[in-house]
Amino acid sequence: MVTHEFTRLLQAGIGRTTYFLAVLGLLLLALSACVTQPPPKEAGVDVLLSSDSPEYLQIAAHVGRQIPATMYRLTGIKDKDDHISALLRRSEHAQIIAVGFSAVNRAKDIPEKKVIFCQVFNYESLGLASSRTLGVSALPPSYRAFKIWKAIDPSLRRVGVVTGPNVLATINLIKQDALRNGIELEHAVVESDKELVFAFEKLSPQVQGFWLLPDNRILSQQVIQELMLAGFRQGKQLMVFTPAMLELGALLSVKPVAEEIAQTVTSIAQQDQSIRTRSGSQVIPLNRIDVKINKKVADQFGLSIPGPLQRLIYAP
Amino acid sequence: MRLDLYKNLADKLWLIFSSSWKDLISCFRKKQSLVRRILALHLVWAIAVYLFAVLGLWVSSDYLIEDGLKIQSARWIEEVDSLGTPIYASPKKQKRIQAIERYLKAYPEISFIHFYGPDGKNLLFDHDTRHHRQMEVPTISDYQIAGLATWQEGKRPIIFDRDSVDGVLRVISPVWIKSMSADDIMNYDPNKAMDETIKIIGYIDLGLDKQQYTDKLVKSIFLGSVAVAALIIVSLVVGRRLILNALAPLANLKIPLDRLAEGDTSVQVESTGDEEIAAISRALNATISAVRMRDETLRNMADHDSLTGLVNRSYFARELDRELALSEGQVKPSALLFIDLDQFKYINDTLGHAAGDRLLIQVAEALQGRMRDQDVIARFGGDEFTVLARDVDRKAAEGVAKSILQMLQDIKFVAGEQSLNVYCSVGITMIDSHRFNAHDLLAQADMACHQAKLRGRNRYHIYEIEEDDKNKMAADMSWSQVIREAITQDKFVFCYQPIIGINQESHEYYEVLLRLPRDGELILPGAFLPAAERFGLMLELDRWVVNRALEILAEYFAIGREITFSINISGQMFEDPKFVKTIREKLDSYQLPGSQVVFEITEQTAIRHLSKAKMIIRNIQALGCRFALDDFGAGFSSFSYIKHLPIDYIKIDGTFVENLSEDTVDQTMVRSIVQIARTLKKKTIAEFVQDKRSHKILKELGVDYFQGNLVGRPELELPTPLPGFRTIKDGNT
Repeated sequence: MVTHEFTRLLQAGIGRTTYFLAVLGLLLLALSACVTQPPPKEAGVDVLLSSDSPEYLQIAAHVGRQIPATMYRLTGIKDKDDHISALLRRSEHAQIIAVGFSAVNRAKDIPEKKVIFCQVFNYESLGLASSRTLGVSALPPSYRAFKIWKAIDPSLRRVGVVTGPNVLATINLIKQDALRNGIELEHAVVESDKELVFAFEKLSPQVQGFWLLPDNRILSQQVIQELMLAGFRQGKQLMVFTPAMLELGALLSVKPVAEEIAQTVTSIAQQDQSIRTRSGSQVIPLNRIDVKINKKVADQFGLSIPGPLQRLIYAP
Repeated sequence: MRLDLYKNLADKLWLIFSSSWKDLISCFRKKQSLVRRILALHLVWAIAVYLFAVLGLWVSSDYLIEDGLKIQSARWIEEVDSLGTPIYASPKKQKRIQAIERYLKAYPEISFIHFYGPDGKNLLFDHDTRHHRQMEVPTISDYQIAGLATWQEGKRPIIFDRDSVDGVLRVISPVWIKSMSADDIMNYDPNKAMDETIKIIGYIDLGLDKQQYTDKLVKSIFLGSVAVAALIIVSLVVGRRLILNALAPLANLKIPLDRLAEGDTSVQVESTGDEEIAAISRALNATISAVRMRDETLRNMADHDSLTGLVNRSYFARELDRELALSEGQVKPSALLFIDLDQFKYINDTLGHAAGDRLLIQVAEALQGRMRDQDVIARFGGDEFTVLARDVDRKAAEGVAKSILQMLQDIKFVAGEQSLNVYCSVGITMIDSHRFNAHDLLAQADMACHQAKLRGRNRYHIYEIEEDDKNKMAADMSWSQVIREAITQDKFVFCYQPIIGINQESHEYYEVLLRLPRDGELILPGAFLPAAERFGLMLELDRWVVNRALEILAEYFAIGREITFSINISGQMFEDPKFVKTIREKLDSYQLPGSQVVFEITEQTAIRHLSKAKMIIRNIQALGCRFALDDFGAGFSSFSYIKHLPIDYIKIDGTFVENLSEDTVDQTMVRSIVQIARTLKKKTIAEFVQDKRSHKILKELGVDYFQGNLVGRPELELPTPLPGFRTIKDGNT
């Protein structure tokens, strides 16, 4: 009775057309309130690992602690890896954190996803630095590396580096960091492990040591061992990229910190605008460094390890 | 001074070596010897071992050289691979890479090195040290490329090719580059194997030349061979001396063995020293002793009579000769006694030969018991004994004869149930001069014994040289010389008397009759045969007769005249051990069939040598010859003898034939002989056929053959022309 009376009065006050339009509007409003709202997009990422190496797993674990992540690991078997690619395509996550070369190679072929890579040294040769891909340097901060090296050997003036082709951007950065430490960097480009030995022999008289970079294109197990042996015998100081190589006669090993890698990739994924590259490249440099020093080699070469660096002595 | 010492030493060594070397050479030029054989074997063995060693060394060295090169080549490949990097890395075309050239200079066995592109055909670089060789090196074949495409645990594959370039071992290996995976590099651990990508960017073809190693090997082998040859020569020289030294005990056996070969059985071989030689020496000494004993036994057998153990005729004759030689100048004479048992034949015939042998043994033992050691007692033959009584005069000799007579009389010979007395006749001749030889003395003693028999037996008689005895003796001695001369000078001749068969076959058959031409006459055998027998010439005469008869027969046979000869032989032929062999040889040499020959022996001869006769007759018959028993019936012997004698013909004694036509007893005898002969499948020949009536009777009695004047007289020549058949003279011949 009341509703009917209200309706009659309303129609008398605003006119009939207006009344019906108002009713229609209210009805639409009510209807829209009843329709199910789509759920909001997740904030996580897909993490694709090239292999189950400890280093990669460590990075993945750190990422997983910071951001929701779905972990995928390539098997090396095409059918299975294709299936993983399909899963990634269907995934709701908009970003893929690709750890390692194989993962990046797969991920870049999924156009609808944004790829964040890490642990890939020769990204330039793969053309990975684009608007769709952003990466984290596979190398530790070279400035800090040279600084520590120089602290061990203050007389260090000339260091050689041999890489494969198309890593100029990386080399330029390293050169600059070397110069800042008063070290001249001699760079040679080779096409194969065979040429690496040759270049090493050629450069050797000109330098006091070598920084052996993780360029897989020119490194083989045999050549690594030959270089390490030759370097030690020739009294060349070698800075390598993994502590395991210290037992082959290297002076020190420098590598990035997994946690920092994870944090960086996570930040990129979370669109942290404070992350910038110095040169404006798509690859974010790292700040932390994991150093191990071979005291035995240092003693052989007559080098003394400063006190603050004593904690970095390699003791497996 | 030291130099002089060395020089002296070198000179001495050279002297020893050169003399030994000359000895060695000279010894190889001589006849074969144990030392030379050992040295020759040593040399052959040394050379064989050396050749095997060299061959083995050559093969194994070749293998080792190649194996060594293969092992070394792996390192060379690594080095040149590293040195050859600019070939594949540098954009400029490399004409020379000095580092490679310098490296290769240090290894002259590397004759060339080629670097190819990834297709194995595109030659990027080559360096060849084989200036003198023009052989092309082929590129890497597709098959080789396929073989190099696989590798295990990252180990560099290498192919060895020894066939495509003559004298060169090619070592082919890929040039590759390797890279680790991008994901693994970050986790590199030198202690773990990691996957790597391998890419072949070219090939290295390394040529290894074995020749210089081979040359060095040949040179080494040559030098080694010279050294080995020198060692072999030295070892031969030294070895010869050592072997001679070692074999000296063996060589020392030569002297006693030479003496033994010459018949000296008194030699003794030393059996001391080396064990082996001592064994040989002992064996030799045992053999020498056995030979010596056998020698003595044979000598004994040759000089002794096997039945009685007394010395035999030949030994006695030698002793007699020796006695004659020793008696020269001596005063005391000796005596020769000839003892002949009386009626021994009767004892043999009645009691058997075994009893007769026992009697002879008993007599021999008695004689040995009676005579002294210095005397010689012999069984002269049959039932005859001779005794040489040394240092006895005539009276003593007679005493000996008497005692012998008595001694034998005292023997009571028992055979079965019979007991017999033994008597003998003894002839004595004194040996007191040197006018007569042993044969003469024996003949004298024999004649004396004969005289004793003629005078009644059981007595002795001393030989006295009386006139007629002298003449007789002289005659006998003359006959012996005549017979000897006739034999040696072929003075005897034959007469041939024909024998014809009952059917008058055309086959010519003659008995060969011996004659001695003397003073224009032909002397019959009866005149000279006793002397021949007495002087031991019968065997010689028999041999001459047989030989000459076969010779004549062969001459006729050669001209196509098939004649059969019947040849008379004495019992002495049965004593000749070579009789059968002689006949065989004669038949072979004259190419005569044995069937052309018939041998005639008398009945007495056959009985006297019965056992031997049987064997010899069979052996001669095996040659094809035949036998005839002559004068059958004359000796009153039993028919059992002809039953056991393997004779072919029985010649009926002439005494049964010459009066056959008048004497019925003779006819009966002949009939019996013929019947028995037929039963025994033997043929009969009647001798002395003089008349036609006798011939007719003989024919009726069944006699198979006839001989006598009616058939034909003995003639010096065989009748010519060839008769169709011989006929009996009936006036119509």
